[in-house]
Amino acid sequence: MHISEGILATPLLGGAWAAAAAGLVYGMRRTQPEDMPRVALCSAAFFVVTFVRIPLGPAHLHLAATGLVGILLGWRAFPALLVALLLQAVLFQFGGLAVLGANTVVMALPAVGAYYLYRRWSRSADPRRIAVAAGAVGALAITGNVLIMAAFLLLTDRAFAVPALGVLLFHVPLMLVEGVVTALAVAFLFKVRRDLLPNPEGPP
Amino acid sequence: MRFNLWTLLFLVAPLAWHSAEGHAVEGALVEGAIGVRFVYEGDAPVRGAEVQVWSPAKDDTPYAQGLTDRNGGFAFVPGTAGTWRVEMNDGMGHRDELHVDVDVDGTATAVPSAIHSHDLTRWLVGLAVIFGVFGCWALWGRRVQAKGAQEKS
Repeated sequence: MHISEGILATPLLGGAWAAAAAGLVYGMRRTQPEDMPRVALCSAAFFVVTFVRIPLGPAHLHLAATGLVGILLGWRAFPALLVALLLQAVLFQFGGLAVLGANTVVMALPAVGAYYLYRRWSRSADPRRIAVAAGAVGALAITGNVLIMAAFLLLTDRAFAVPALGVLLFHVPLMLVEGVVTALAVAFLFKVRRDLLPNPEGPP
Repeated sequence: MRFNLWTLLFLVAPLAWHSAEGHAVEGALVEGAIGVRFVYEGDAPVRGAEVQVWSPAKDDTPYAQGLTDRNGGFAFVPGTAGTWRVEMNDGMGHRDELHVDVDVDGTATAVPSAIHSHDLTRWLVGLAVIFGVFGCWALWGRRVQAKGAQEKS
């Protein structure tokens, strides 16, 4: 789910870079040295998991795990995802350098939203409720990714309306898959390492 | 009056023939066409992706453009010898670029795609850089913290 180079209008690229830079600075300010292993692990997991392809019709969907990354990192998702996206652009030509800011916003903004949603919906000690909340957050994060990407395309050219709608519908199965994956991962962490998950009662 | 009609027909007939000939289209097989094929990892064809062919002359506009067929294939007929560049973009974040060297006698040699090969080295480099970047950041952060604590005491 990367926006390719040469599609977005230049002012939009600039705006996206500004938003990504703001998110990056804010995320870096909230990152303590002891958070680094988690940030690095999430960045590496995102780097790898986006290569997992799910064949669907003539094309393929890619997992993104932005919901899970967001739940675990919050605002720190910005530096984690920026580094992973930069390496994907440089090593595999996924996306591109000029469009890196836009791709970071597409991926990281819904991840931050996922963090706050999870905090709001996980005020329970019941593992099943936690899993359901995480699943919903995971599915919504992917929805957010696709909607922001569609917004970028539409702001560039209204002619992208049909392709953007196609991309949105095409990703509906991925929303379900991401929801299940996020629910399972969070349910596992809730059982074995609850301290890794955000505390709904603690400071954001 | 009859004479005039026949004269008119006589004059117009060659024009009509010429006009019909101008709209006629004829297809024929050509030799020397170059076919390329794009596949995802796992050999699944890249269908309906946008393809642009750039000539060795480095023109501002592509020599040919179109979409890959259902097998991920695309063909073009190179006009001159040199290195031709074939770019593919599926619009979903996957791009590929193929360089085709065409000799004077029309023999074509494709330079293997450097972009598509998701080799292990790149994965390892990517993961090493990620852990390296955040590892260095953690060390730097600890140093700053230690310095701050030292200054306070």
